[in-house]
Amino acid sequence: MSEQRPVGWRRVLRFFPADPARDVDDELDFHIEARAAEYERAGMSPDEARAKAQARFGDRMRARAATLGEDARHARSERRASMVHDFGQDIRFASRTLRRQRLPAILAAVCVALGIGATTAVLSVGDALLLRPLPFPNGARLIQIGTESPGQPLTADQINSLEDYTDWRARARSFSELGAIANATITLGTTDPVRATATLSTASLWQALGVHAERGRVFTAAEDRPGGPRVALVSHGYAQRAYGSVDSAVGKQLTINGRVHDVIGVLAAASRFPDGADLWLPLAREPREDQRGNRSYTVIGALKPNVSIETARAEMTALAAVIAKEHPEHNEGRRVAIAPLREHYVGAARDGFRLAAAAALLVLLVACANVACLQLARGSARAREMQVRVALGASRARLVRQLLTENVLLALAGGAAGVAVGIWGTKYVGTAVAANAPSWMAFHLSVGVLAATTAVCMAAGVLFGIAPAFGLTRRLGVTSLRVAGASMVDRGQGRAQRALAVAELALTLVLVTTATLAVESFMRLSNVPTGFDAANLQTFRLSLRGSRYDSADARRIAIASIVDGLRRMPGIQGATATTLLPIRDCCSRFGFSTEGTALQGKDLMVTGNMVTPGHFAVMRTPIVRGRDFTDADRAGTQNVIIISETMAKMFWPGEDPIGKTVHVSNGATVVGVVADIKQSSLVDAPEPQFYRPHAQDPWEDMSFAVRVTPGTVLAAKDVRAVVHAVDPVLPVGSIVPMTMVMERTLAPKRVFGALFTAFAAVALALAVAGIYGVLAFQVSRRGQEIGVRMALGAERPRVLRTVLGQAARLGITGVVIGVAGALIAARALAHTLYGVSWTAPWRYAAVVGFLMLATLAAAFGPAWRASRVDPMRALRGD
Amino acid sequence: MDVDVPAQSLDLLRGTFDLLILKSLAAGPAHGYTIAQWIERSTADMLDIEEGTLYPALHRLERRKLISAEWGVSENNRRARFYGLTPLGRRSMRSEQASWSKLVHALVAAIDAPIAASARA
Repeated sequence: MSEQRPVGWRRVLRFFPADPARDVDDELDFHIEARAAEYERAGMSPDEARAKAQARFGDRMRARAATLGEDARHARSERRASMVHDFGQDIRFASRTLRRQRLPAILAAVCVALGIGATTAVLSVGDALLLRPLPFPNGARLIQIGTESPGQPLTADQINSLEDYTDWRARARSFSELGAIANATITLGTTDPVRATATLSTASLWQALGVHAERGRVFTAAEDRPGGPRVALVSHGYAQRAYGSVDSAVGKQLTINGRVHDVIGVLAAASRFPDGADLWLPLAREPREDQRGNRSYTVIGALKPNVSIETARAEMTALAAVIAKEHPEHNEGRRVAIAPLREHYVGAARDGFRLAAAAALLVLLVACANVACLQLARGSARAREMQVRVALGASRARLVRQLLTENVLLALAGGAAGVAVGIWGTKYVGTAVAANAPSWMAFHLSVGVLAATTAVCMAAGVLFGIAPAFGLTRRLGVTSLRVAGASMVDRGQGRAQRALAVAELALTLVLVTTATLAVESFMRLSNVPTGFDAANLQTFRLSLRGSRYDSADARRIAIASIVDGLRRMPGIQGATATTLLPIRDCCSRFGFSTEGTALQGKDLMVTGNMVTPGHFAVMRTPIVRGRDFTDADRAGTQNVIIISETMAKMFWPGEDPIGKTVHVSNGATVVGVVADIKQSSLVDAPEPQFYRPHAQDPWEDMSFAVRVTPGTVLAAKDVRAVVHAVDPVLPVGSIVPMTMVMERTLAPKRVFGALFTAFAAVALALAVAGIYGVLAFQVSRRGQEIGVRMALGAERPRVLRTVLGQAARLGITGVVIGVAGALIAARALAHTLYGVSWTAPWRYAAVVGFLMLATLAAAFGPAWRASRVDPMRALRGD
Repeated sequence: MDVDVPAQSLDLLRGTFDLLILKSLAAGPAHGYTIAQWIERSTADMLDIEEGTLYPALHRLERRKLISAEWGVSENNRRARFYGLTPLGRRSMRSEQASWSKLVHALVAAIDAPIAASARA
């Protein structure tokens, strides 16, 4: 241990290239020779000493192999360690660079986040809406069947008669099971009865869905029979609310319409069908031939495995024709429609969704283009840095890896923010697209979609981010160090940047145009004349139940007394009762015929309502001609009817309809004409409508509308007091302001408007940033050239104009392409618009003007800077 | 070290050998031959080891970062590989040494124990 090696030597020796095998040989030989030398010193001959030393050493080959093996293992672990170290260095370096160039980095990350977020949100909703099977065991095979109703579009949503359903179930072979449901309004409880809706279902419905009870069991065929045991199913939520726990529900009793029913099962939240139902009773009806015309049942079923919907449709079409021949009196000319059950939920939302998806994809494209643009600019700005690093011996792989790390970091940061945007957006879009989506149709962020959009954004960012590294490292030698950064920049790169900016502008124009269409459509729709005034109107629904209302007089008196009681409440301007309130309750149609009119002999279905006197005053629906109903219009007096303007024009064009006779169940004389109202939805075209006095046709299910003085709150207990003064066991439905009803129907359009506006705003911001980036970059790149020009006599305003002219050229190219795209998009959007013309040239002119202004505004900063270039400094510097 | 010994006793052997190597370096860096000489002297040449097996062991200890190696020049001006203890190696040596002593004491106590006493237990 006396060896003191000179430090300098070690340093020098370290530079020798490593050759592990030679090193090991040296080491082993040294040992053997040292040993031999020792033996020689002890007096042995050199040969003898060598032989003895070798014997003492043992198997040299084996020792050498084992030592080399250790070295190889050592080298491997060293390599791993150094890789980890390099990676750590890349990350540290990348985050330092990104921190230094904060603004472009943040911009790029925000683009990525918005692109990923918006697209993920919309596509996640689409996934739930259009792709994922309904969350029932037989979800993917569920279908719905509907019977055609004259004058209405043929859809599977139409209702059917129990008799047709029974025939289908017996004869059709495409289905593993069919089930029927209908809703019924019931009275629940005895002492303080509540009005509730129950779903009547056949026992077979649950087999069709493939659903089992969470506790207990579903209905059996024996229970689904007239006179069968009185049983009920309750929902998970109902069981918890009513009994405290799901486990204790089975075996409890419920009083429904005054009769005791046994709770036999609990349905899990995910098994509720239809959505929102809390209570199920067996349908328990036998088909009766004379009832075949009574269509009130929704029919759903499950296709047999391996049976396509086309096969089933062909079978049902043929079967419907056969049944129509057998029962021409009820079924003549009535086709049936069959569609996946999903359509019931998606239906109208599909178009809206497609548009939103298209818009989101455009945003994603803009975001990608923008990220690419920013990355190119960043890459160019760093040309010099890259050159220096190449000159200092960084390998191309190392540079590419570093840029890659930087861009992946950037994309990850954007992606993380994108997830947040996506989660929030999914909920928002979900509620918009499917305002009446069932609760079990959950709108979650789809991981698959997220992965895909993130990958697209990352790819854009990363590709354009590392492109400069390839461009630079390919052409760079040490010699290029001399060359100034500006001229080193690839001309092609500038071109790519300009192309991207133009693309962004074009896409933005498409988005801005569609946004103006969607918003204008929404505004028009929310201001559409409804024919009534929703402000300060409170509504609730009530049903007269029980044998005491068997007589028409009892019903008439009860409803009239309640309306009277409501009118006398403080702060009330008026009250009315009608069978169905517009928008809130939709519509019921009645067969309607006239004599001596243009439409004589035609059996038409016309929307009608039974109303109490004063109805039009309370609703503020103008009476155009004639009079309102009065208390004198009652049973026994002349049957009277009030019709809508559209109806008057339809039946008696150019004539005064007052005094004419029409037939709705029986003859009635027209006494008044009122303005059209929107009965079922705001987008309804004007349709014929009629009103009859409730006193002459006293229905038991009525909606009440109470007009309050502004600021008055209609308390539920006061309303109950009024109703219970008339009948203490009448259940009252919840009180809903009419404005809320209107808001609910407008909500999807509002969200779409907001969504498109947000997309357009994002795209606009991105495009402006893109234009700014391109010009700022070019100005800084051409600083020297501009300096030279100015030194040669170019005036500052001229420089300003040149740069702005460049921006204008980009802008014009962008908007020309954009207008073409916008026309295509607007045309696709046209049928979802209300009261908006997609072709109106002023809109395109306005959007084009706006975008050109935005482009020039974005260009002004760089242009100004260009005009401020100091010729002397530009000439001196590089 | 392809010695035909059951794995356990191989581990034991290996552990012993590693401890001896570490111990030989406690006083300062040395090359393989010096280490071999030290082991030979300090065990009174009672361990009949093939000297060639020393080198895989050295390189293994190097990989485990218990010792470090550097090329240098030997006392007779030859290029030789010098090994030295790393801080980790020094710590490992102390703990191995302590557990060996404990084991040896226990063994000695057991071997010296009267046979009758053990039979009665």
